[in-house]
Amino acid sequence: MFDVLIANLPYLMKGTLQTLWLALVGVGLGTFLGTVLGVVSAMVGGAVAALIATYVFVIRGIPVLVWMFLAYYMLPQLGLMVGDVTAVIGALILYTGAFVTEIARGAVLAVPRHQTEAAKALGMRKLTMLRLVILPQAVSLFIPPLLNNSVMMIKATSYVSVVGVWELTYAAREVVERTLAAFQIFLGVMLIYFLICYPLTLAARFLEKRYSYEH
Amino acid sequence: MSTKPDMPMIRVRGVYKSFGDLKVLDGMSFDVARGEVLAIIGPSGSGKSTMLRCLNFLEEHDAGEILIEGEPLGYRVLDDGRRVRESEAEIARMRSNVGMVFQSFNLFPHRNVRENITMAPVSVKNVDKAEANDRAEALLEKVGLAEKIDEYPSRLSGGQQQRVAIARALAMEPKVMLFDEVTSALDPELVGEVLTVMQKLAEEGMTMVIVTHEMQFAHDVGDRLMFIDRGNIVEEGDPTKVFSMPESPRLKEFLHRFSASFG
Amino acid sequence: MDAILDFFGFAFIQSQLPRFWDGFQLTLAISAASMVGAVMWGLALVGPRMSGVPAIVVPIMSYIELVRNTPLLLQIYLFYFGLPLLGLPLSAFVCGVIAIASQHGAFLCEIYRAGIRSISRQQWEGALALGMTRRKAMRQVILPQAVLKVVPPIGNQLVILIKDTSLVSAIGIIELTLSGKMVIERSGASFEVFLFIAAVYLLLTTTFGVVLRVAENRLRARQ
Repeated sequence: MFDVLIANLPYLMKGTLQTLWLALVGVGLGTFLGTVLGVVSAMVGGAVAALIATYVFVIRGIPVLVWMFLAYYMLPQLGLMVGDVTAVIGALILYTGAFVTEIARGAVLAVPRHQTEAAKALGMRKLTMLRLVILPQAVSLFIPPLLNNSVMMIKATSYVSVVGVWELTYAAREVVERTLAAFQIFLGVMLIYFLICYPLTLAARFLEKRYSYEH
Repeated sequence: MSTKPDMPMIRVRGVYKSFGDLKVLDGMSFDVARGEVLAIIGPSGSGKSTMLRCLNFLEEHDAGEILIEGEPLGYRVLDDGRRVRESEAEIARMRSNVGMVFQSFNLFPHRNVRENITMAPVSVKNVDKAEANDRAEALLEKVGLAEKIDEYPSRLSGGQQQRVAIARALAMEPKVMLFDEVTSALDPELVGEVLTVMQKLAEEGMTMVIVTHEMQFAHDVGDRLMFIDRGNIVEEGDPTKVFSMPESPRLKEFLHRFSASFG
Repeated sequence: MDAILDFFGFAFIQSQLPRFWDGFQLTLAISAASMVGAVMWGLALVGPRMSGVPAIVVPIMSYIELVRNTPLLLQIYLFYFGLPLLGLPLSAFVCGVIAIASQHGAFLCEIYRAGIRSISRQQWEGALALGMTRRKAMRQVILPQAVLKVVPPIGNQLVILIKDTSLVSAIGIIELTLSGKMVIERSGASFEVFLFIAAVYLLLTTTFGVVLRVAENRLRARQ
């Protein structure tokens, strides 16, 4: 019954690799960007925080697919001769970054004020305080939503197929157009995504529970 | 910047502080001499905690000047009267000379007792790790918690946490110790162990400023007592004299309410 | 001034406004239909999900986990390309709405559940001790409190839903996103078109967010 799926599995696996690569680069770099911006926003405040908040607001208010189209059409016209893949990865990075910024900022701000006061009273400067007191305590609030966000963004890598970048979902459509086996292929590919995403969801849930017991 | 031995340990001159429209400190001026224990009492909202927090620049005074051993804290007042904010590094350096103990202990929950005590000396004063560790052990001995050195704060009672917090502040070898209602969050039976440690410190000659509701303790340990109300020093002097012969109606009323509620 | 406007292609965008307007209306229609569908579907799921009967809970949980951990785009494809094979040749619009409502309904079900569970046992016990039936307690004590708690996360979810309607462009529905792409590809216009599209989305999601916040405040004030 699943012969069409099995026959096309090698091709779909190639697509899976491309999806994983997009996720690794896009979500990975976006997470790095967002972590830095979120921590800076929480620690510095003022005009810098307002600027970062604007970035978050604008990015999150618009569908990621629209950002992908925008990057896809805009970068070449601005003279940046980057490939389609680079353009959509740029959109993934910016989008991931905006969500992670909010998560990181919230985690840092959730560390109680009296903790920073105690650190200040001991003569610590901001960077020392950040390294020794704030970040170690913020990390438990940071990781679970970060994992959930990664799941969201891994799912969003499939949208690059709409712009025309080849990866797992694009490959699935190709196979379906050739074989018309919509159920087998799409369900099979959904299962592949599920196997990638579900462990992260479970890990997020486990950590959330463990941290909530500790507090 | 050299310290001036002829200056008092703490000098507060004309310090004002408001939160929005609310005036909390209304031109406070006082000195604390080297080795002196100053006890500050007053009704809640009187500004006593704010005053104490200003002495470590956790609250920033709006006007006036605070000097620690003659060195300005937080703001430097120029000859023409302008105030210039000190750099973050300078503020941190000044703070490392002033130890502070909080009402809610504020130990770092992600570090054990040993690390809570050694963290600041190592990272702020570049003290050698082994030396910081020796000092931590000695300080824990002093506060009677030597056996708790590898515990995490959450496993300690409130009184034990507060004694660790005192050891943590002492590890920086501060010139002054500030105590902000350090027994208010404790169960009554745990208050004594913390006060005992503080009394020992006072006897060793540590300069201390204590904001407290423990009238008996303020009387016994304080070299000087200061009653603050509405951001002003209403009365100050020898504790025995102030307690037995209060002059101002406000202090009389305050003490009356205390004796009424504590019998 | 005209030159600047022209640089950003305003004149051109203006000439294409009727097309964008059609797309925008479709985006609104799909959003509205999917929202109603998702809210109802979530409500339909949450009772059985919390029934405590394994034979009911396990299939529903499996469905929710599957839908939440796979891309919406694939679910749209599954309905659009799969249903005709079952002899159900539904329109692209209907398939899109079903797929969006199905995924967001699953997310909403979990939000409802968290809201109901967040109301403490004491509230239940208090209500039951007053002689209320479970049904009455649920309606008069638990739900009113739960609703207030879930309004903000529901709002967030619905904003995501609005953005997700852009995905039905992949099955040829000429909503806002696809109308932009088509204008570019038919007339060789440049990327400014998508700046315009992006601005429209931002306006739409922001407006929706503000309306929700006002509604939430009214609700809070009334209780």
